[in-house]
Amino acid sequence: MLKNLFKLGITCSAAVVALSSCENQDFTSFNVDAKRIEVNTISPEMAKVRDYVPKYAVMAHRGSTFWAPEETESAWRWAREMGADYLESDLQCTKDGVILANHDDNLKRTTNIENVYGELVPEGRKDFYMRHGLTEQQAEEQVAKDKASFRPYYSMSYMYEELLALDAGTWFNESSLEQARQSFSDIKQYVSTLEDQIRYAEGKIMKRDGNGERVWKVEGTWDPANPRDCLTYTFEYEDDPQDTGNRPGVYIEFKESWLNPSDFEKRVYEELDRLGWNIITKPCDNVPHYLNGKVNVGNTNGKVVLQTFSLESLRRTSEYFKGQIPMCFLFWEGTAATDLKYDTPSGYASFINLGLEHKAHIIGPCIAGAPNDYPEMNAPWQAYLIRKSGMLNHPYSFDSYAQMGKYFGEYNWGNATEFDDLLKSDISGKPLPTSVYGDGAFTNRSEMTLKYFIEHGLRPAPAPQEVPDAVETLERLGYYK
Amino acid sequence: MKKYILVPVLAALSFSGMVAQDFDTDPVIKLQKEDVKFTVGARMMEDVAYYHSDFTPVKSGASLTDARIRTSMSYKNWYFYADFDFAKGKFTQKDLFLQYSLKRDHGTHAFKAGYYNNPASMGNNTSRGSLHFISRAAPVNAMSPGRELGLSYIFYNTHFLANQGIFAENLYNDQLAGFQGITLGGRWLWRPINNDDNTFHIGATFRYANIATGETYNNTLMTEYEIGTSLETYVDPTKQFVTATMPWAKNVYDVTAELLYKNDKFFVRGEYMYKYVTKERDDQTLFEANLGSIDSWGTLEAWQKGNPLGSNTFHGGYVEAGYKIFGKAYQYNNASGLLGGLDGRSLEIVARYSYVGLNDIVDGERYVLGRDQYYPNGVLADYPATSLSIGGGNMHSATLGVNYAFNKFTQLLVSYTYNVLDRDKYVYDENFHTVQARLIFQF
Repeated sequence: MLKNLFKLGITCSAAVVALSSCENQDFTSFNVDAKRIEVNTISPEMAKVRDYVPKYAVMAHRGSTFWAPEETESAWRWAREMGADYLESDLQCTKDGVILANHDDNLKRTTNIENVYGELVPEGRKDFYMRHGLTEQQAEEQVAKDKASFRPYYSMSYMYEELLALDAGTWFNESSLEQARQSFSDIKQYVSTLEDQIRYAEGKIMKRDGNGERVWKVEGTWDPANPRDCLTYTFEYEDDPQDTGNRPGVYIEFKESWLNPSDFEKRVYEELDRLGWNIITKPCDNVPHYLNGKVNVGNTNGKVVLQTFSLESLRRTSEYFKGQIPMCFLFWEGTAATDLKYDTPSGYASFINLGLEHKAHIIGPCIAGAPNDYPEMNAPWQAYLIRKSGMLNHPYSFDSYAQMGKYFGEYNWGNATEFDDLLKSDISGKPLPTSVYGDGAFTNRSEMTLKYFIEHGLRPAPAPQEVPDAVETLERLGYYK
Repeated sequence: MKKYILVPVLAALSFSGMVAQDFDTDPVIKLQKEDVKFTVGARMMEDVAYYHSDFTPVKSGASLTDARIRTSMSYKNWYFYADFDFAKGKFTQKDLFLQYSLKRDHGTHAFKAGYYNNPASMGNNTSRGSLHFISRAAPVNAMSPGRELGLSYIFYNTHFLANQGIFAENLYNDQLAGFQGITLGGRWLWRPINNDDNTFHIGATFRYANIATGETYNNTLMTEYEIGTSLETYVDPTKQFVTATMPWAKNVYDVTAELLYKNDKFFVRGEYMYKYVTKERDDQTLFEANLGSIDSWGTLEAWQKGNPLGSNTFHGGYVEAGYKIFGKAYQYNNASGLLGGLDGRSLEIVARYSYVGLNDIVDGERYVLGRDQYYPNGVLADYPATSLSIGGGNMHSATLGVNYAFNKFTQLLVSYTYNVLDRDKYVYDENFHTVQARLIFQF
């Protein structure tokens, strides 16, 4: 008995030692896993469209959220004059079919809509209908229907004419005291349209009457069965006297699908067509991104970049645009319907693959750091997976030099990592002094991002090498304190 | 000292129906005074395992996976049994029941009350000490009922066994409110061949569980039912690879078919398992709780369309066999309808194939790993999420093992298991290899 137990003890001890010595597994490491997993790669055809976008592009995030009221004339004019490559915006649709540029899902934060309309259907709605062909009875019936389905403060509930009554500038002065300028109230800032954004990119300015009100008209007969296509708005613009020749492109986001009609991507396609900015129907081949020391992206095939967080919009965009216009798939970590919920290398790669499958060319991950403290979705392993796919990496959004240094090679992540094999070179394979974790940047501080890229050799000539002073530019554009 | 009699254990229980539920060996220490008998026993299992996976690490190492103390007392036709586990530093209540048995010419009737395994499973009623494998088959781990608090009536004779009972779904009646739920379970066997040399039984089980306990959610009771299994191992008992969670589960139906054949040197046994889970939810209350914002659903019908609720079905099965190279003949217990473990110095080889299917995926749905979500008709959509699919994972497992009993107290089990996983969430994990060993000492 004792002999057997002794043998057993020896046997088990040997087994434990043998098995332990075979142990070579580690904790789950995203850095290790990112190098082990597979990710699809961009096709040569798609890579051609990807390269419509300049390297290390600077996207003026909503024009700027720092210096001026976001997504207004003032913010976009400033961004254009600073030399940003793209004016960035978020698209939504009004009840009467005007494509807006507005970030939030409602208009409370960035306008005075609570004071102007409260939570009620605008009082002038009945008159609006009657001016557009309905009898008084029909108009009353229509207003009653509107009340039944009314969602206060959501763009989809308002006619654009009604939104023209809103002030989209004064709120900024109240919330950003150090950047406040009286002119953001005095020179009325309107809720912008996509057409506005594009005209500002073209060097135009909104045409205003003697009272400073914008010049516009709306025509057509209201058709309840066809509300978004029955009226035609006409806006007037004129050459911006302060235009210095930069021609940025536009980087336009399809918001969450439930905020817009189900054919919204098609509507944007047609609106770009109408405005002469659809390169599928009006290509701009062989035009340089920079010309005569000025930004010229807005005259190239890269003049429009589409973007979305929405899986549904991603799918629809691929159906309408067929990958022929650069498309960015934005990443946000969370549990909501459009979020990346499973932020592991395999989950992250699955989203990259979704992007490629739906003809996206760019991934837009959020970045950490003050003041927004977004989730970190552009760690080295994540940037590595994006680069491995051959897609561009456009992280968002930069507000500080610390963030620039962190992601573009100056601070801690500039040290050698296991990802240098792909990230210590640009998208075309050209070597870089240190690894960087992006191929462009959404920024609220275009002046800072442009300077950083220039000073670190990421934005050489013929791109402009001088960056104007941010405050002086605002003053020059007429935005006085 | 003469009051106490120390009896080596080799024989069957001293009277009919007295079967220790989680040990099938008789305790060594018996204290007997007149017609009262008290027993004490203990068991230890120490496992070592080495795992190799394709992608996600599984933790190799050693673990004390079982540490038990058991006691029993019998008096005339009454039998009381208590069994406790303190492995991994945690005290766990195991079997705790009272049984009354009546032996008649046509068979034995027994009534049993307390906390013990629901009868509706051959695999789960087989003691871990008598498994012939280090772990129960994955489908048993995932789909079979465990211990429940209840009352059973058992009848058996040479050719039949009928074991059925009623149980509480919540053991301690500690639900936040309301009824604790109820389960019914039964196992019925027919043994057309049952003699000293050969036994063959076929049977079926059925279990119904009404889940009535859960958490309060928006002023409603939200139940949840979770099933899963490890990789047929205990050193790393993670169920992450094969697991399914079903909020709002209300009724669970389990049906199994089983067979067993054994002779002196060979056994084969297996089960096929089917599980059907229905759900119930207070839609009206949840809908009303959602009202009050501009993002409210318009109507109850719209809310229900956006939050569909469906039933789920799962399957599993296994077949396992053993061949004894030397040692005493395999034993079969008529009272439990189960095969016994190794008894005395012996050597056997065993093999098992098992399948557990916790993927219940609607045809045409598409899985997006980054969302851990299925999309109906393969179409990406933002909202609402309307998939009824559950991707809990399908797993095939094959095991080869060698078991050596040094004596009636001490066994060494060594096995190799190969698992093949099919789970969308673990797209890079397909093959798992496990080499493991177990040292058992029990008395």
